Amino acid sequence: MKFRDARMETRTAVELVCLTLSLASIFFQIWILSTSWEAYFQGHTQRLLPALIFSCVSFLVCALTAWTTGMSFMKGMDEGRTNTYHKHTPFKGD
Amino acid sequence: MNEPIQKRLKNKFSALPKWAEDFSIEANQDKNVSRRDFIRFLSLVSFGLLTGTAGVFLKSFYKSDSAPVSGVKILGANEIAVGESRSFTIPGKREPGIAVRLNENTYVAYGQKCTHLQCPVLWSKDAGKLVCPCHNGAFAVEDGRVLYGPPERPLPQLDVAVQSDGVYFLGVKSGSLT
Ligand code: FES
Repeated sequence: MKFRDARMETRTAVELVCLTLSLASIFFQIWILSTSWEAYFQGHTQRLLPALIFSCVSFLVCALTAWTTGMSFMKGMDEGRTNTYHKHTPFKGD
Repeated sequence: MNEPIQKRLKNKFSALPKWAEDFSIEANQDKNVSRRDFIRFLSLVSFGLLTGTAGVFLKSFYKSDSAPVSGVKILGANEIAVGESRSFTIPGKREPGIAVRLNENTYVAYGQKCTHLQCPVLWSKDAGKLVCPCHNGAFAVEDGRVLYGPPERPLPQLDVAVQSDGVYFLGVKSGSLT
């Protein structure tokens, strides 16, 4: 894919990195949740707090990626390089 | 509103904005989920998973306040033959138990939830042990200790008394019910 603007290319790269990170965090959290249940049933309740902490960290990673992509989108908008006619963003001219 | 976007933009701006070069389709024609939206959705999923994990953590603090009630008859006299078993609800608890008649006057009873992942254990008369079909675990019928398989803890053993009119539940002898 070839972009006319290097900054657009950077934004796409940032989004792809964030997407990968989010997906990895989600899979990690799914694993944590199933392991937590297993630990709970087996009576290893001391493992549940670390599991909760790791799940928290994964959520923070996801939230951070959402924030980062949002910020990079806003930045692009400020520079006039973003499709402001996007369905979530009212078109100022209309 | 039905005019092509390029034409509408030309009417509004003197020069075509930069974004219109990169995104040349109408937003209402854009049905794809953007990467940005998808990442936001993933954050929501992540929050759901975090809530689930927090739920398991909080559940570990919850202790059922219902105590087993002793002195309750769980089996009638000769209700089961020697070498047979019967499931029952542990009096005062909403939990299943399993009683096995080993010989004329000897009964043993255990909590029926496997100590691995809580599947109900079953009495295998041929093998002479309590087996869990879920992950092939087994417990000794004499004392509930683990014979093989993934369980790490013995089954909770229940105290029972044999009377002339049946078998009575007295309490939990060892281990703990959930
Ligand atoms: S639940 Fe019994 S062996 Fe896994």
